[in-house]
Amino acid sequence: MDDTILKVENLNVVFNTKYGCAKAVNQANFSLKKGQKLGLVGESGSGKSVISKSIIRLLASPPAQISGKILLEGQNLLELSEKKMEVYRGNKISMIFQEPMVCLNPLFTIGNQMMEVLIKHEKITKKEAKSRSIEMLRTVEIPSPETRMKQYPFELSGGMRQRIMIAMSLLCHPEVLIADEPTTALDVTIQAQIIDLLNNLNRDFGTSIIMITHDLGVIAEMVDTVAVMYCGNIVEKAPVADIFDTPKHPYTEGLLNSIPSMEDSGKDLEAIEGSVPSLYDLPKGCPFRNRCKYVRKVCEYHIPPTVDLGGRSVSCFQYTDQWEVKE
Amino acid sequence: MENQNEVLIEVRHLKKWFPVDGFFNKEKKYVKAVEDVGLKIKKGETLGIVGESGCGKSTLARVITRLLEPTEGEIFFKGEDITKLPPEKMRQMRKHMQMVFQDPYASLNPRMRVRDILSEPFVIHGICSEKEARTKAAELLELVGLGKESAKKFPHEFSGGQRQRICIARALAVKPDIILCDECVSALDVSIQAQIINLLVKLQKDFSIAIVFISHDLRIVQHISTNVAVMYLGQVVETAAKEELFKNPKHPYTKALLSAVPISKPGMERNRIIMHGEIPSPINRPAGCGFSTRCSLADDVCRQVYPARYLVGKEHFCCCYKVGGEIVNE
Repeated sequence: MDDTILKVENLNVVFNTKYGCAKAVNQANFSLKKGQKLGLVGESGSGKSVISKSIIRLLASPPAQISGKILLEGQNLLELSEKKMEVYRGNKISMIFQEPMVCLNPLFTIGNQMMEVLIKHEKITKKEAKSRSIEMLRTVEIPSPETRMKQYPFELSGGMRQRIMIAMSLLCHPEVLIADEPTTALDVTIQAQIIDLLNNLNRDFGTSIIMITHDLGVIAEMVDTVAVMYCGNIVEKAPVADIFDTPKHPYTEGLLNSIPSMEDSGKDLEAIEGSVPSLYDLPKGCPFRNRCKYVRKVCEYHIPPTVDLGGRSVSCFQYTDQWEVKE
Repeated sequence: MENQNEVLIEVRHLKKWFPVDGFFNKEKKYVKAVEDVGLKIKKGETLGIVGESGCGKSTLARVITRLLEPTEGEIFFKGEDITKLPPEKMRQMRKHMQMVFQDPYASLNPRMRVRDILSEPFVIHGICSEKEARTKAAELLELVGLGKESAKKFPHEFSGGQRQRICIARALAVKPDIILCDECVSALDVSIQAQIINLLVKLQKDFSIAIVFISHDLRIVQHISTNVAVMYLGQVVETAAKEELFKNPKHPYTKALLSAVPISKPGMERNRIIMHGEIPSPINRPAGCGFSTRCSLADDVCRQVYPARYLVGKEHFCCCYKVGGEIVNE
């Protein structure tokens, strides 16, 4: 267990708003090993981005109330002062976002923005910073990096900007990279390029990656381990092959059945009935029970416990003793 | 069904150019969004149009329904040229062709109740009185799987998937021959996407409507379509029946596009063709084939000569001279 680099323990995030109290993340537990690629999947509003933003401490608090532990190499990030956190951010842990246009400053050149990262974090001259930035742009396969350094974000395409974001986040060789839907805004052919790039970086530098996405296809291509989220709860956690071959949680099963596969078409899709409940108004008991086809009486009263199934875990009463109790 | 082969819409040499007015540049430039497109849509079929963003899929749909005026070319609806119809006649024509848009949040008037939204088409096309329209609106709601009580509600009270159901109900109201769905499930979550796709498939079977399904998601297009057209840089580069296109793609772009689709099972073997570079700007199209800048097969002829349309199989057309075949002139 020594190679665990990031450990999230009992993470809870609650938003107190004028509409009520929304539990965006409920008792999340997971850990990330060195060089591991973890995927967080779920539909919109399931709390994926909230988890990632709490890890890197970009969630404004208040309104968010964060409790639990986020241990990066044993250090609880939630206890750090903002100044100390700034040292961690970029150096140890960094993040890429969904929309590369919004995340780059339109008023500064690419070179300027990249060099700023290095100068801020390391004692380094401008000249060195420049050569290292160019080096990094070359690593992410950007053609003619010297010219790109002088360009502004608007002069580049979406895929190119996402590469720049990746280059920037890797400048100080962080151990953990959080990728929050990095390919959602991109076309499939460009998406394939970016996935390839992230896989290569993981192989070459041993960077651990947390991949957040709603696309199970991306998950299948990239990650080792998957955590499926629904309404703020991690409902299932397993190695990627197990998730696709033998999904245990009814939601995972439904999610897999809703994607049309390239192999057999023509059949009706098995959609999950109903829609995601609002976080302000979650049903009592299991949050998925209103849409679950296996629902039983036990599901109505308690939130299902997380059951360890050896190498994987699932939060569903089906795998507990309470399931067989006479109704 | 003998009318299965009846051509509903035929598009010939369709072009849509948007002028770009530079402040300083004297020379007039155009965004060539749709370049010389020819298509046939048969009765009751589902034509999937795929392509990356900016390839002109949506513009094509809007030009076919003449929400945008074509720059050149002809559109025939049941053999009648609708390109030059005066606005009033065109409005009546739209009774037969309806659209469902991508963003269900933007395409429903937030100040109208659902029953008013759904009875408006009946009133506009003078199909029945307002009172009858109300009852028909309730029937429509039932048809798309929403309860009667929804009639009184406003659009903001619905989720994205439910709103898209309302949009589909509105399109169905006038009993159209064809519905053009422009990325109609892209804004929805996966589990909701499946619901809407199932609904569309069911409705199409029940009413034998033709559907033009525009999407960038190849998996969904493969699921729903009978025929597929692949677009690149304003051009339809390949059209074929679904099975044929997915099993036996001819155009280098189609091949690369298919290989880029994320697999549905981890550890599956496949040969991925990684395309380098990005789509050129539709303002500065390459002189010859639009794909020549990214194509691994491209030679000097590709870069200079605009590719013709070749017949490469049964109803399988491909615009690539490297692939060859019999030249078609239509």
